[in-house]
Amino acid sequence: MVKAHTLLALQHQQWLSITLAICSLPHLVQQPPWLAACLALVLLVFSSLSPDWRSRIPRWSTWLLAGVVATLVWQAHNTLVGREGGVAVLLALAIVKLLETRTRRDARALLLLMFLLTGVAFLHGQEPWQAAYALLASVAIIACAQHIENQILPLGNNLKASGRILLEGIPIAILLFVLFPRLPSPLWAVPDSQQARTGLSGEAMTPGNIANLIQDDSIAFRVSFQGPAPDSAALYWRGPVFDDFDGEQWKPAYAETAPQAAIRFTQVPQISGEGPGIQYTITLEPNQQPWLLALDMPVQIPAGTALSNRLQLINPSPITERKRYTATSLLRWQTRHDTDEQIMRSLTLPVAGNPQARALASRWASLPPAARVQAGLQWLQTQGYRYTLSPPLLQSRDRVDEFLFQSKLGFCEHYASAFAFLMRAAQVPARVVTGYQGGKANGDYWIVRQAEAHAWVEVWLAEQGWQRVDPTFVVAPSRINEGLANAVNTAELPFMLRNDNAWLRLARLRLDVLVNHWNQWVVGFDQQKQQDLLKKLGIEDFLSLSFLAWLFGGLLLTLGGFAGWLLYKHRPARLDAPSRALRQLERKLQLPREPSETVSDYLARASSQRPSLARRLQQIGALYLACRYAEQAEKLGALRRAIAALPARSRR
Amino acid sequence: MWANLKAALLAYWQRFLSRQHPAQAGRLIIRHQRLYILPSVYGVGYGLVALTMLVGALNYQLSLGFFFCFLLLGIAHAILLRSYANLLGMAISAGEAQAVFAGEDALFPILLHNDKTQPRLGITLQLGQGEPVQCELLAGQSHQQLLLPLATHQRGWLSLPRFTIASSAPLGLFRCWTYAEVASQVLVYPQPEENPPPLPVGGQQGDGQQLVAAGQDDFAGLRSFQRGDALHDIAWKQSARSNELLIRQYQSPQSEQLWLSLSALTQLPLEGRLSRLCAWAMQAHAAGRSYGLELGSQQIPPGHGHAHLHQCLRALAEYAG
Repeated sequence: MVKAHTLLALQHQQWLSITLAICSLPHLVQQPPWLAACLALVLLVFSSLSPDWRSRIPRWSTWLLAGVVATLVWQAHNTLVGREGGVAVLLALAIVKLLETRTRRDARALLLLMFLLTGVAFLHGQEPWQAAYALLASVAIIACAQHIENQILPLGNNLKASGRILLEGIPIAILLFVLFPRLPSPLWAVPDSQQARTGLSGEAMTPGNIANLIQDDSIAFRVSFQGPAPDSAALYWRGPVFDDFDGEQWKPAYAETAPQAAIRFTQVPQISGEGPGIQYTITLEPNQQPWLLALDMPVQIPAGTALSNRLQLINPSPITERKRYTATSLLRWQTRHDTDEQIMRSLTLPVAGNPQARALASRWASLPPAARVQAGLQWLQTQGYRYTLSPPLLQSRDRVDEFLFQSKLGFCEHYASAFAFLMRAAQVPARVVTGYQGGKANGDYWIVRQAEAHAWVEVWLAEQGWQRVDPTFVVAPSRINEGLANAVNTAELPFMLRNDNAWLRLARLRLDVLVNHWNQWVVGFDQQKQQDLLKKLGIEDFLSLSFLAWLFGGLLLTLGGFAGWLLYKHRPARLDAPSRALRQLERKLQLPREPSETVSDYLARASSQRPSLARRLQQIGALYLACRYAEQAEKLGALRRAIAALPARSRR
Repeated sequence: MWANLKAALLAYWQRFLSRQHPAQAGRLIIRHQRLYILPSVYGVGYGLVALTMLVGALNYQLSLGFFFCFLLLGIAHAILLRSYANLLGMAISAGEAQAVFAGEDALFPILLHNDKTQPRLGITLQLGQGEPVQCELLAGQSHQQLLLPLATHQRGWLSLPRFTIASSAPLGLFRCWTYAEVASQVLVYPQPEENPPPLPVGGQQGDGQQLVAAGQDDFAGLRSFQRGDALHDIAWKQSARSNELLIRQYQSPQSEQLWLSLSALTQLPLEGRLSRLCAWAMQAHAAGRSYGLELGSQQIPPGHGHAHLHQCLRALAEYAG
């Protein structure tokens, strides 16, 4: 209010620079290195400019610099708006604003920008450490703001006060966080994030690309079972399904173009089965893909998703944020009403190529379909195939032949690809399914990592419909029964998947329990979770009386509690009894004592104004001195009585 | 019509203020009923940042974005309470202001008392649209004096009008303020005439035209320094030898009694005459002469010294005509 135009001192500029550096750091690490280096350099140069230098910089140079920075951001992101571009522009704006900061008003604007930068940093991720960093940055901003307004506050007091301000804000934040109504969908369509896709691909399967995933021990999803967890060997997590084989690659039946994608949801086979359904909740890490994983075979799917006619769980939009959903699956099933078109497509092979494999399959043509499948599996089991993470590269035109009859070393995708080829050649409808297999129990939930990616085959049998056949199982049963670590050479595996139980791995798993809670209760706190929680509190909807009672009751309690506590803390220091008695005397005489006046001086002055009371005042003075300094507490009553006995001054 | 409405509103506002903030003798303690708080422009900007965060969080479904937005609100609330507590319970009293000449700024000493143990920060006092005065830090259980300037225009007694006590500490997001009217008066002397004619001669009572210039003053002796003495009269050499500042005293040759008389000045309006008498009294005082003042029926016998000057100036200031 006052002194908004005060020029800032060098010390203020340094505070601002340091705080801005703290707030920019999470953004800088997300920018392309050259852009981050440029911005960091600008920040460094600006922070070392003295106010004198700063005042000599002409205004137009700020605009010039803003233009240059905007061009750089354009170079890096090809846009100035949206998620990536917008954040980069905001960052650049704040850094350029630092150059222009001369007065207290500029500093305030910059501080507001810093708050915004800190909040926007959650677009890069919502991990616990990112939240902790944001709290730290907030304390820095509050401290800097306090310093700008009140430079005489010592640093220690300032930081302490800033930390307390933040802590006092947290209860209100939690209350509003829980009770503020969440929307089921965004306000407007969010442009597609350009973040790199990791993990399984839904676009194509080529032998070799799952093997690359084995080196990635990052978490694909976490899952908690509502009932007892099935045996780990039964945990096939169903992902993308591939129909079309061109001799090299497997591709899905429908590309992601709109008219084709629509067909995906027509004539979906019916699934039936016996045995209890297994209900589970998956927290999926963002995979930037429009499909979800489900335990083979899903029968109840989460709202808003759909099952394609290839029995793949499809999400309407790519998953850019961590997603939590609940589904129910059957471990044994039959499918019915499969279309002829689909079955025919699952028999299609390239016109030529891989003659040896075709010849092998034609040998089983006379057997019934189920027996052909068994014959295929038996072939893989008995012909000396080995399971390895580093198979030789297949380069010939007939890759299935090369694998089946020469190298005989392969990973799950080699087996899945070759087996599906053999089945089609033997006139058994077959397709490749990818996903994850297994997982590791950690407390009351399971962790499934990227490295557990897997590929298997589905064959269609007239009585049962589509059934899973895992050729890897017959080659390396331990992969399925005991997990990846027991099937391959441990040294080839990433750290978290090895079997030697190092304490460090255990500690990381313990930490993951916390991270899981964080993901479920903080990051994953969406409309569904909110409704569940509010139901427990007896709130049916946001217009109900009980909701308003909780909201306003909670707010009133928090705010009122704070206000009461603050007023109590800031109450005036209580005077000692003799001084209070003296205050009473001042009121009675209607003659306030000057702060610099001693009691004797005051009484002398009072006596001169009211000579009639002089003797009594003298007595009061003696009593006061006795109480206050001679510590004769018994005279306090006499002092009070003497003051009370004084006649009140009549009002003029 | 608008002018009428505005006038009516202003009048209502003034009535409201005098009802809510009556003049008070002695200590005035800021109570919560009379302490107001609103966000500043900065605070509104802060609110916009929180709103932006909320829209962003809704749109990107960012859980932590929601949390951060609400944290900003929580922080604002914590700051609001601190801002309020910063002024709440503070006591104010006014000291005695030094008399000034009309046209000068009267400086009212305002005492801020902090009875609590926590310090109070950034307290600003402002009279109307005047220059604000600020107390950066009022330590716990202490008091501090600020001089509140008020422009004076005419002689007489001037009361301290209602003034504003405001603070935007600790972060400037909120402005917390109250109005205070504490009883304090300042005596305003008439404005001394600039370049007045020379002092009238002795017993003669004239308009100053026929005055004889005061002759070369004779040195009459030394006396000790008093406030208000001219610096050029200090006897530096003699002062250096003694322990106190000494002043040279002169005796004019025409040391007859000098009477400054209002009735003798007829050609000027009343205020002009008082201004001239004021200037003359100061001149006579500076010259160390003995002078008397005659204001209609009121007469101040000749004398000299600081107290005498003050008595004369006070009579001039209070003269009712």
